[in-house]
Amino acid sequence: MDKVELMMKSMQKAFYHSSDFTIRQIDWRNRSSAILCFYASLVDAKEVQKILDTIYARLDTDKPFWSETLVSTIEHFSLPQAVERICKGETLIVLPDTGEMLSLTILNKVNRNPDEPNNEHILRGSHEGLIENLDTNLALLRKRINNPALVVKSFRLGKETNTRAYYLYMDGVIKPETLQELEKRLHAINIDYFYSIGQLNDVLEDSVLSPFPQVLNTERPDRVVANLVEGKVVVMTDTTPTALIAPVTFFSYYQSPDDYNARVLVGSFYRMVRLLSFISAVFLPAFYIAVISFHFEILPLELSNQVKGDVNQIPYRPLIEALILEIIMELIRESSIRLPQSVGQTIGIVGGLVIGDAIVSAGLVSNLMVIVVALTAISSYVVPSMELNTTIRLLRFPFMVLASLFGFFGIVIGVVILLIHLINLSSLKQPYFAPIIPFQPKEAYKVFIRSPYIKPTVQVTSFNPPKDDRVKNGDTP
Amino acid sequence: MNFSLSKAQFFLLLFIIETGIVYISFQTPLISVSRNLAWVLFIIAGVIHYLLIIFYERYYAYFYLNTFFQWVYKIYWFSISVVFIAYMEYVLASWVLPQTPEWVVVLMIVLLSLYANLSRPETVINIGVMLLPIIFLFIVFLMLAVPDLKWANLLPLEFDNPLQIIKGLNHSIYAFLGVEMYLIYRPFLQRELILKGKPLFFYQQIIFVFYMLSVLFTQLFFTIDEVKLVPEPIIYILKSQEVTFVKRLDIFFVYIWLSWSIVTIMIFGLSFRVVHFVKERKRPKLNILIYHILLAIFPLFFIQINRIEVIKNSLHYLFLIFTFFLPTVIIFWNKWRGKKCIEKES
Repeated sequence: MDKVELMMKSMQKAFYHSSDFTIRQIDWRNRSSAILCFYASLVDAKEVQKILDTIYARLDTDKPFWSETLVSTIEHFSLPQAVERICKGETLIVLPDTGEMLSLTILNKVNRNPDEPNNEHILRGSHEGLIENLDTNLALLRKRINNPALVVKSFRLGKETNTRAYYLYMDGVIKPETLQELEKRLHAINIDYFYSIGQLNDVLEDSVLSPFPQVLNTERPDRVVANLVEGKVVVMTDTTPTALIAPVTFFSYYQSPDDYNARVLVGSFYRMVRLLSFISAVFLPAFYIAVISFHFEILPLELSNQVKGDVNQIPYRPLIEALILEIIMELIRESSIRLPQSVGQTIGIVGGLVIGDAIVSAGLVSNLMVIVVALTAISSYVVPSMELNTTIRLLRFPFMVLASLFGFFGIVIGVVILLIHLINLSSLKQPYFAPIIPFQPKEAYKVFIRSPYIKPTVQVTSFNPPKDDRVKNGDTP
Repeated sequence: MNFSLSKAQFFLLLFIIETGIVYISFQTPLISVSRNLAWVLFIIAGVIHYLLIIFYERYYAYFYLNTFFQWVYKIYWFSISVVFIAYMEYVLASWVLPQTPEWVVVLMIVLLSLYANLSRPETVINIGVMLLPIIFLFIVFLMLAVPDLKWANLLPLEFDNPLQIIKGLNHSIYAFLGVEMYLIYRPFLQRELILKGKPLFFYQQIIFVFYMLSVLFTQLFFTIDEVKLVPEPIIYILKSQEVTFVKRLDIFFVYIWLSWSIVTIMIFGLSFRVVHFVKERKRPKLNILIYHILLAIFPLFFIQINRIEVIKNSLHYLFLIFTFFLPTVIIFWNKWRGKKCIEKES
């Protein structure tokens, strides 16, 4: 058995005789042989053939750098490196006589179009979205930031999966300690298989068991850019369109690109509406339960009579009534997500209208409770972030239980616990409830109001000590 | 303990401590004792308070507590917290939760303080920020009572009874209970910040106006004989206000006051921690836990109307000792010895 055959056997063994692994002996110059190997599933064979023809032609003219083109390079052969390159989708031509390998980077990428993400619709502005390909995503970002200060650093995730990932930041804008903290956490990742963005999310969060998300997930390149220029760091992988952004504050989840695309008053109004929706989404059912169970006397007489008449028909406590409806609401939501879009809408109608009407007619819940739960559901869906939306839906259950046990006193207990928790939270070691706590009066109003761009030279930052507010675009990249 | 305070944090902390619990109730004994003179005496109390904080600002560095005085203050704050929790339970039972067992309410309040005090000191320091909008709301709704005020209640003024004036002053100054915390937290202020002059003056104006409103509203809303029958006049004023959307406005304000008071209890806990952990101690969390276990047990012995009344009527004497007498003695003793407390790094 000659050298070429031996090499081919060992390579086939290294790839576990996989069916899509292609390995062939080909002719090379001076009557020598070479080995062509690649994953058929990852390589565009026609393009490889074209490049090979070019390289043959260059070989014949004896050019000194015959192997160096935009998509090809030559290096010394080593089996682990060869395996790594083939796994990445490159085509290798191994030259046993010289102990070298020529690698051709011609990938047959299966990508979808960068369409607007389904879960982050906006009315005005860019309708592009990130996709499951890092290079396309980087192109979408670089298109928006034409500046070398946008730094992209690569790293690998999973010892076995070896997934490509990047973190991005704007040099000169990001706080050095934030970057240091991120790098520390990324270096500490010790997993064999990376298959879900949730794995990375958990590593980046300061408190994994908190119900509040501490890393912002987005599939919108414009949102990524807005956060990058505010001094945040973005982490992206090759397997998912989701970009992870940190450090963020609680209020980051209530900002939408629409705020900035719309006019000042409109943007500010809807931002405030969204923030108010947090209060109604979390506290409305608890408030209703507290009033019905403990504090009936706060209702004006006319309303009180009507509510009493309604509630007296219900055979069980308001908490049970609320739980029944809330759980039905969650079931409708969950089923409409899993089903195809057309059927999902039907489920919404059946669940919302038919069950809603029937359940009241059957005397299982009161009319008022249906109104309260419907308003709560609408309020919870106002949040432009899916992660916080789920958090809010979860949060209202403990508040409902506390309200049914202690009335308003229970709600006060819950609110204080919630506040202490929010104040304790941090995102990449930055305060999560900033700029309200620690209170920064100059920044706090921005939580509620979308400032006009009448001072275009002033760069906004999220966790700014006063100095940063004076940083000008001319200075920042 | 290592933390630093900004000016806003420092004054907010002081504001919450001073107003937290006594705000709804100190007006009754004040007006009962000093009658029409109450508002004048409160203006004098305001001046005394201002002079006191100026004195504190000048000499805070000499407020070094040795182990004995550390324990004296720790026991004082613990006792104040116990009495306040008992009073909070009493108010809640009278206004909104008559059926709920006392121990449940006390336990809940103490658990909240425990959670906050097991967290970083910054948590307790900053949580007061969330009270600002609701305190503002409190004042706005109090303003609804303006049409019901009888301005003639401010007069006549009689200054012929020195005993009445002294007693009235004593009850007025009691509004500022907890002001000695100035000396505890002042060394934690960031070094480059200066409080002398405008900042102290503005703080004094804010707290004075805030309290003065409550004294004026109580005096103008009730006759002197009525005031004696109303232990929490501010809440009663709110109860008498009618708005179209809510029948019992006072219930909301009892809970606003409750959250305000819970934060005050947390700050008392923090003050205990600040003094207790001046020295490195083993198992700090266990120490905090024990403090809170005791805080949950002791109030249960005081939740009776007679005991609450006796304590309420004698707290102002304790206040004189711990706010005026002891700090003055400690400051001048240390000044004479040249002993300063260690200023914390900002």
